[in-house]
Amino acid sequence: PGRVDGLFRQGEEEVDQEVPGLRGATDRECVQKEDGCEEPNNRIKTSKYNILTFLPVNLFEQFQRVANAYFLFLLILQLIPEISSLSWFTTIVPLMVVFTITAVKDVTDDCFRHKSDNQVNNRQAEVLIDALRDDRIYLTSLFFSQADLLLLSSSEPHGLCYIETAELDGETNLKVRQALPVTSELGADIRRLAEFDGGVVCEPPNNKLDKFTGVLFWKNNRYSLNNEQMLLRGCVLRNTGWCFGMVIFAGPDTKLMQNSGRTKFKRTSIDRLMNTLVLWIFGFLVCMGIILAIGNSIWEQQVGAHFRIYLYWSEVVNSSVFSGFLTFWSYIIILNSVVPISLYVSVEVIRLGHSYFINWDRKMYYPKKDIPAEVRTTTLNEELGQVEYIFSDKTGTITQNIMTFNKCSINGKTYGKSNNYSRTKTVPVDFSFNPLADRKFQFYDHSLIESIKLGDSMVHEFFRLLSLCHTVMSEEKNAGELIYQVQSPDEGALVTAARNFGFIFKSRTPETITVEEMGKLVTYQLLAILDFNNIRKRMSVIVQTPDGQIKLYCKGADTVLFERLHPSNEELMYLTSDHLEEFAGEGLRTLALAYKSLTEEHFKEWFKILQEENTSLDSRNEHLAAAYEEIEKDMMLLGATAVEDKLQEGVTETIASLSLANIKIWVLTGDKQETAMNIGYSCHMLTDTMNEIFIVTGHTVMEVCQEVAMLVCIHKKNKEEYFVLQAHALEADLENEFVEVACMCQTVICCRVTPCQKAQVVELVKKHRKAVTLAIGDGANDISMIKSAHIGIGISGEEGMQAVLASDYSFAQFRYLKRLLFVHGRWSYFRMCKFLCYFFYKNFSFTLVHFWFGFFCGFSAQTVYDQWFITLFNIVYASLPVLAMGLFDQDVNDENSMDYAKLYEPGQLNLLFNKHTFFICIAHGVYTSFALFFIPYGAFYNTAGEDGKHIADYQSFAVTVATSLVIVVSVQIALDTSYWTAINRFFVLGSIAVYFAILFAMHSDGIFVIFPNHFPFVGNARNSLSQISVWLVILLTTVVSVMPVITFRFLKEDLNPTITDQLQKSRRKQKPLQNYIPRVYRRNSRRSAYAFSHQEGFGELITSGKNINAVKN
Amino acid sequence: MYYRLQNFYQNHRRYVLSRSDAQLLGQDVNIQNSNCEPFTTYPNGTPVAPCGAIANSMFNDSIQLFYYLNSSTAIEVPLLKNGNSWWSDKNVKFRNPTSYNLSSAFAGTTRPPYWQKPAYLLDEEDERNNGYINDDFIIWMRVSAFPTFRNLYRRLSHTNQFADGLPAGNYTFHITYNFPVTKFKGQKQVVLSTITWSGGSNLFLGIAYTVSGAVIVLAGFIITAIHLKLRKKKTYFQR
Repeated sequence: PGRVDGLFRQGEEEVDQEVPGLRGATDRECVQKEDGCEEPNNRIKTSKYNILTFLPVNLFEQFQRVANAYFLFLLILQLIPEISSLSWFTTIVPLMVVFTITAVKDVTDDCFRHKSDNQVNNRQAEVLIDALRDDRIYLTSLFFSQADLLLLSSSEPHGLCYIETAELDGETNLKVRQALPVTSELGADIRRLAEFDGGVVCEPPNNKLDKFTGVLFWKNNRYSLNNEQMLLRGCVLRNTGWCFGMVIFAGPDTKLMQNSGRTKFKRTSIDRLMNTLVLWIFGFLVCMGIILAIGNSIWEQQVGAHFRIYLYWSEVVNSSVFSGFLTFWSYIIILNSVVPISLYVSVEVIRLGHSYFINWDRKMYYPKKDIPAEVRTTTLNEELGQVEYIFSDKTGTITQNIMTFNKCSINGKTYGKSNNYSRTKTVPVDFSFNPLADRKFQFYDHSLIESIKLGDSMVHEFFRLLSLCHTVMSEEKNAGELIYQVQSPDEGALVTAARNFGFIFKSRTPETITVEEMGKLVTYQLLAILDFNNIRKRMSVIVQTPDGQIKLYCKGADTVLFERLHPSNEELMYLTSDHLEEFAGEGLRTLALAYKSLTEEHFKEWFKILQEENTSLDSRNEHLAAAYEEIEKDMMLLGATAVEDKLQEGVTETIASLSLANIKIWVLTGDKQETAMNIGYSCHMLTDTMNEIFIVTGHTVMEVCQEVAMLVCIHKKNKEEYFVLQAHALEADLENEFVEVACMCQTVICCRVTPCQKAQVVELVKKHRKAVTLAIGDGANDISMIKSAHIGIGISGEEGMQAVLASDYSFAQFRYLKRLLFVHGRWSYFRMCKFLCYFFYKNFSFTLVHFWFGFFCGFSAQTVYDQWFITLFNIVYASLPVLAMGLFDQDVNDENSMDYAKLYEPGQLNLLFNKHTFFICIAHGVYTSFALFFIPYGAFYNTAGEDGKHIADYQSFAVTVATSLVIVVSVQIALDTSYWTAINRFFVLGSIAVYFAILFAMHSDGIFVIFPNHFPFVGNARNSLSQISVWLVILLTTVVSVMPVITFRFLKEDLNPTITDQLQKSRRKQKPLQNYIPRVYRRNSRRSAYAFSHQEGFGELITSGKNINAVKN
Repeated sequence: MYYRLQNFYQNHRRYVLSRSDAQLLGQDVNIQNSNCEPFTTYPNGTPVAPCGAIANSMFNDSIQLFYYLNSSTAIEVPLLKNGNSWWSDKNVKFRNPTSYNLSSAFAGTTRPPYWQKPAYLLDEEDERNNGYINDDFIIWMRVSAFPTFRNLYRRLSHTNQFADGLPAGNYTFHITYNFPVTKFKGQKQVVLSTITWSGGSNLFLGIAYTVSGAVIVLAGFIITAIHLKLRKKKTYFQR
C-alpha cells in the first residue's frame, strides 16, 4: 500500500499515418473510451426502477407480457354488456393479485440490483476512477490487468514481464512478455514516460488471444509489434514488481471481452413447452367457443325464437347468427380460466422458492471460504433436473491448480504413500531439521528421508537433479525466506520437494547455480541448458561440479527418455516403468529422470558443434534439436517423479456419479493435450477399460477431415470410448461429423480451445442434440461457454468474479454440482411437472363444467358457479395447496437422490411432463368436470328437497357443484402429494375451511342487506348444505372422480413400476443399499502419464542472463 | 302439490340476470341500472315492480284440488300456500317496501306487463303473503337450474279426512289457465308427491350409488388379484 509501483501514461498525440488494412487504434481513442465524458464516469447501472418511475414502468412492462395483455383484453370484453357473461371483478381481482405479486417480486429483484450496482460501482471507484483521474494504473504483482496493454517497461531487466493467463486460456504455466528495447529503456522514469508520445496502429479488436499485429510510431521510427508485447486483460502479473503499459484496447474491445460472447435470455424447455401448451389450450378454448356458439345459433332458431315472449332480445340482436357470435365471446370469457392468470405467477413463485432452497442449502455451503451456493437466475431450476451434457473447464474447476510432489521412484524403489484413499491417518514427514523447508509441503513416507540421511548416493543424485535441472528463479528476501519464481507449477513442485529434502536451490547466475546440499553450499558451473519444448518433451542441463566433473541432468517424458538410456539400464528401466504405470494409474503426472557423466573433451567437442548450430540461420531449431539429441543419449536412469495435479475435493466421486446418471461430461480446456488427458485419467473420466481412444490432432482441415471420417467408420462397432481433440479440429467445417462422433463417446476432452471455441462446442451440441447442456467454469475464459449453455455455473471464491457474474448459479466447489443436479435439480423438475399437471387438471375440471352446462341452458353462457366463486377459486381456494406441493414435494429424500444416480434419468428423458402426460392431465380434468356436472344433474333433475322445497334451483346447484369441486381437487392434491409437511396439511385443510368460511360469509344475511345486487345467494349455503342428498351427491362425485385415478396409479405401480416406485418399495423392505462408487485402480494397458505444463524459451532467457536480476542487484 | 314445467329456460343467462334483488328487498332503487331491461319501465316512465323477465313470466295458473267424497259431492282439499319457500328467502331476501299499507308502498309503480294484477294484490287475504313476500312469487323467483323443473305450489293441510294424506278416491283439478306454454313448445304438469328422507322421488342417486359401488368393488378385486400375482415376482430396485 502506498507504494507507487508503476505509472501509466496515456499518449497524447494522434497518429496520422495508417497502415492499409489495419484500423488505427490510437491511444487517443482509448482515452476517449475510458474517460470520454467530462468527468470519468464508469458507473454501471443494471437496476430498472426508482421510486418515482416504478409504478408506470412496471405496469407498462407487465402489460407487455402477452398473457397479461390477453387478460386485459378479456376485461374489456367483459365491459360490453351484450357479451359480459361474468362481472368485471372476476377478472380484475385475480389480475390485481397477479400484478401485485409480480410487482413485489420485481421490487425485490430491483433492490438486489441496486445493491449490487452500488457494490460494483464502489469497488470500481477504488481501482478505475482513481486511475483515470490521476492518469495512473497501479500494475503490481498479482494484479489483474484491466485493459489490453502494450508493455512499455517493467521492473525486470530488458523489459521482461511474467504473466499468468489462466483466466484467459486456462494454461497454468507462466508466460514471458518483453517490451521493445526502445521503450524498456524508459524504465521507471516517470518524467520520460509522461513524455512518451508514441502512436500505435493495429488490427481491429478481435477475439484471437494468441495473435496481435501492430506498429508503434515513435520518434519517426516504426517498430512492429506482436503478441510478445501485449498484456491482455485478465492476465495476472507474476514475479514482476511493476510494469508500465499503454492501453490499446479497453472495455468491450479487449480480447477477453471479445471472447465472452453475448448474454442471451435463457428459458427452460418446460417454459417453451408450457407456452406451446398454452397456445394449444387457447386453440381448444376457441374450438369450444365455436361449438357453443353454433349450438347457440341453433338453439336460438329452434327454441329461443319461441321463448322470446318471456325473454326479449333488444332489436339489435335479433338474428340467431349474431347471437351465436356474441355467445362466442361470452364463452371465451367464461372458459378463459382454462388458461389461468395465476399459472405464470405461480410458476415464478415456485421457482423463486426453489432458488431459496438452493441458497439456503447448508450442504452446498463452503465453510472454509464462507461461500454459500447462490442462484443468480431464478428461472432455470427445473432444467437442472434434465441435464445431459456437462461442459467443464479444467483449471480451477476440476483441478485446484496446485501441484504437489506426491511419489517418486528412485533406483527401482518407490517412495511416497498416497494419503487420499487410505483411511488410516499417516503422519507427514517432519521437515523441521531444514530451516529453509517449505511449510506447506507434505510427504507421507519416512523411508525416503532416512535414505537421504543415510547418504544413498542415488537418492542424493535424484534430488540434486531436481535442484539443478529447471528454469526456476529464486529470490531470498530475508534470511531463511526463499521464494521461488516458477515457470510452471510442476517445476515448482519438484524444486520445492528437493528443497524440503535438503537440496535447496539458492540462487543462479547465467553461468552458475548455487545449491545448498545437505547443509553445505555448492556452486555448479552451468554449462548449457538444453531447453524444453513440446517435441523434445524433455529438458537437460549440463553442469560442472566444483571438483571438475561434467554432468548432464535430464528430465522428461518416460517414453522419450527410455529410448535414450544406456543399455545397462534395461532392468532398472522395466522396474521404473512398472512404477510409472502405477503412478499413471493414480492419475499422477510423471517425469523420468536420468543423468550422464561427460568427459571434458566430449563436452567441448559437442559444445563447439552446438555453437555452430546456434549461429546457423536457416532451420536453427532443427539443428539445435539434433545437437541436443547427440548429447542426450546413453544416459543413466535415476528414477521418476510423480506430481499430483490436485483435484478439487470430491471431483472423482462427483464425476463417477454424474456419469452413472448418463450425463456426458466434456472437458474443454485451453491447456495442452497431455495435461488434459492426465486429468481425465486422474478423475477417472478416462479409464483403461475404455477400449478406444480417439485423438484428433490434425492441424489442417484436410487432416482433420480424414481423421474424423475414419472415426465415423470405426465408431459404429464400439461403445465405450473417449475422444480427445485439439482445437484445430473445431476450426474445420465438420459440424455434423464432429457432433455425431463426439456425442457417441462417453467422454470428450477438447484441448487448446479458445474461450470462443468453448462456446462454439456448446452451441454445436445445443444445435444438433436436443439436450440440456450445463457449463461450469471459474475463469474469465469460461464466460462465453457459461453464457451459451442452457445453464451456466460459476465456481466462486477464486480470484476474478467474471465467471460468477456471467453464471446462473454459483458455488464454491465442483462437488456441489452433484447435489445441485441430483437433489435440487431433480426435485425442482419433479415438483414443477407435478405442479403443471395438477394445475392444468384443476383448471379443466373447474372450467369445463360450464361447457356441459351450456347444453342445458340454451348455450346462453350462463356460469355454473357463483361469480365470487369463479373469482376466488384460482387465487384462494385452490392455489395454496398446489403451491405447497410445487414447493415442498419430494418422491425420495435427498440422500437417496444423491445415492441412486438412476433416479435422475426421468428428467433427461423428459418423462414427467410432456405432451403425453399433458393430455392425460387434460383427460383427467375433462372426466372430472363431466362427473362434477352430470352427477348433480342426474340427482337434481326434476326433484325437490327433503322438505319438499327447492333443491334443483340454480343457486343450490351452483353451491353443490362448487363444493364438490373444492372437495374433489383437495382430495386429488392430497393423493398427489407424496411428501407431507405441516404447511401442506395446513394449506389443504385450510383451503377447505376457508372455502366454507367464505361461502357462509357470502351467503349470510348481513352482507346481502348491504349489497343485495352482488350477493344474491343469501341463505343458500345453509339451505343446501343441510340437505342429506346434497352431501350424498358431493360424496358420490368425489368418489367417482377420484377412483379411476387411484385404480390407474395402483395398476401402474404393479404392472409398470417406475424407478422411484421400485426404490420406495425396496426401501420399505430392505436396508438402504450402501453407496457404491466405482473406483478404478487397475489398468491393463500401458500408458504414459507424462504431463508437463511448461513452455519453451526460459532456458534461453537464463543463459542469456536477461532475467537474472537477483545477482545484479 | 307441485307444478312442473318443461322446456322453460329459467337458467338462460339473460333470464337469470333479469331481476333486481335490491328492489325485491324493498329498497327504493333506480332499477334503470339493473339488468331488468326490457321489463324496467313502461313507455310512459312508470317503473315496473317487480321488474325483470323472471318476475314478468311468473307462473300464474291457479290450481285447486277437489276430492269426491262420493260421485256427486266434491270438497276442496285444504292446501297451504304458506311456508313453501325457504325461511331465508321469505324473511331476508324478500321484503316489501315500507309504507302504512301495501298499496301505497307500491304507489308510483305498476305491474309487470304479463301480470293480471299488481304485486300488492297477489294475496289479498294474508298480509304476510302479499307483495314481494308472496310465497308463489318467491318460489318462482328462485330460478331453476335446468329447463325441466318442478316448483312447490301448495302443501296439503293435514286436517279432517286428510290427516293421513290424501285418501284413495277420485280427485279433480280446477285450473285457471293463465300461463301459456304451447308458444314455446313447453309442457306444464301438476305433480302430487310425497317426500322421503332424501327428498323427492328421484332414483338417480340410488342407481348411481349402486352402480359405482359395484364397479369399485369389482375393480378392487381385480387390483388385489393383480397385486397378489405380481408380488411373487420380485421387482426390487436394481441399480
